Amino acid sequence: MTDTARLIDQLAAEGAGVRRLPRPLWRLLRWLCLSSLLVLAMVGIEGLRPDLAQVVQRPVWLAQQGLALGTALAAAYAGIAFSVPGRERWEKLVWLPILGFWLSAIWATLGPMAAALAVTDFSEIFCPHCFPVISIGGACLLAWDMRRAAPIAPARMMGLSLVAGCSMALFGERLIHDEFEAPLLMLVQILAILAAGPLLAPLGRVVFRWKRG
Amino acid sequence: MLEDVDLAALLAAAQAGDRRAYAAFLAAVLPLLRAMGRGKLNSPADLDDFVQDTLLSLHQARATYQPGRPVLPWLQAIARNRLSDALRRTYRRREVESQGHDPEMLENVPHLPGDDGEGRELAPLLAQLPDRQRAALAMLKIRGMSLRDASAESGISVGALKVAVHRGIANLRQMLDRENDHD
Repeated sequence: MTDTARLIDQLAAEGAGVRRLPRPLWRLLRWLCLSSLLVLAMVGIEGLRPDLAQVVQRPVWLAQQGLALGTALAAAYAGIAFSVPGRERWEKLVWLPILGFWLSAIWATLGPMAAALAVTDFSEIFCPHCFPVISIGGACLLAWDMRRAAPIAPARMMGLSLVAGCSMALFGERLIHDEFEAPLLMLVQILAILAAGPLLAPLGRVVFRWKRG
Repeated sequence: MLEDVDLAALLAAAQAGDRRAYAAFLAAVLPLLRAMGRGKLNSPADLDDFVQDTLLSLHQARATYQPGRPVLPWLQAIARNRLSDALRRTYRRREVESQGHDPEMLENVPHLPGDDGEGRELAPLLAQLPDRQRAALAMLKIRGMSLRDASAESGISVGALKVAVHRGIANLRQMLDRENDHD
C-alpha cells in the first residue's frame, strides 16, 4: 500500500461529519452584529456626540457614514470570500468600487488643499480609545471567523480584516466624536486605514495556516 | 474520472459523516491532483508530497464546501494554493543544493550515532522533525537499512525517502546552528 493510499484511508477514518461553514452572507451578518456590539460598548463608555440629532439630518454626513459602513461590510465580505475556496472574483473585489467612490468624493471636496497635509499625531487623526478598540476588536472577530475556513490567501484575508475593522471604527467614531469631521482629516484617516492593511497583511501568514499532517 | 455532480454528491455525503463516500471522493480527485502537479513538479517525490499536502488541506477545508456549488473550482483553488507552496519549497531546495549539497551524496552521509553521547544530544532534535523525516533518518541512518528495504517497510518511495533524509539533515543542521548561536 502506498503512502498516499494509506493517507486516504487515515483521513477517511478520521472523517467524522463536519459542521458546514455558514454561507458568506450569514458570516458577514454575524460579524456585523458582533462588531456593532463593540461600537455600542464604546458609545456606552464615551457617550454619543452632542450634535448627533443635527448631523443625521445632513445628507453629506449620512452619505459618509453609509460609505464608511459600506466599506467595512464590503471589505469583510471580500475577506470572507477569500477564505472560501472557489468563490467568484467579483466577491473578492466588491469593496474596491465603494472605497474608490469614497476616496474620490473626499478628494473632490478637498481640491488643492490636499497639498497642505500636515498631521503629526495619532490622536489628531483618530480617537485614541474608540478607534483601537473597535478596529482591532472588529479585525480580530473577523480573523476568528476566518480561521475556521481555508487559508487560501492569508495576507489578503488579514489585510481585508484590518480594512473592515478600521472602517467600522471610523463609522463608530463619528457617532461618538464631532472633532474628526473635516474632509482633509477623513482623507488622512482612509489613507491611514489603507496603509495599515498592506503593512500588517504579512501577519496573515502566521494567523492563517494549513495544519501539518 | 467522475463528473462535478458526482464529486459534489460524494463530498456532501462526506460532510455528513459518510466515511466510505469520503474515501471515494479523495480517491477520485487523485488523478486530477496528479495532473495538476505533473506539469510543474519534475520529481516523483515532490509530486507525492504535493498530492499528500493537498489531501490534508482538502480534509482541513472540507467544512467550507457549500452543497449546490461546483466542486472543481473549490478543489482547484486549494490545489493551486498547495502547488505554489510546493513550488516554493522546490525552488528553495534547489537553491540549497546549488550551494553544494548534492542529494546523491546522501548515500555517503555518515550514520547518526545511536547510544553514545552525541546520539543522546541529537535525540531531542530528532523529535522535533516532521514524522516522515524522522522515520527516514531512523531507518536509513540509525538502523542502517538500505533504501530498498526502508521503502518496502515504510511504503514510502525511494525518491521520497531520499528527499526526506536530505530535508531531515538540513533541518538538523539548522537546529544545531541555532543551538550554537544561543551558546
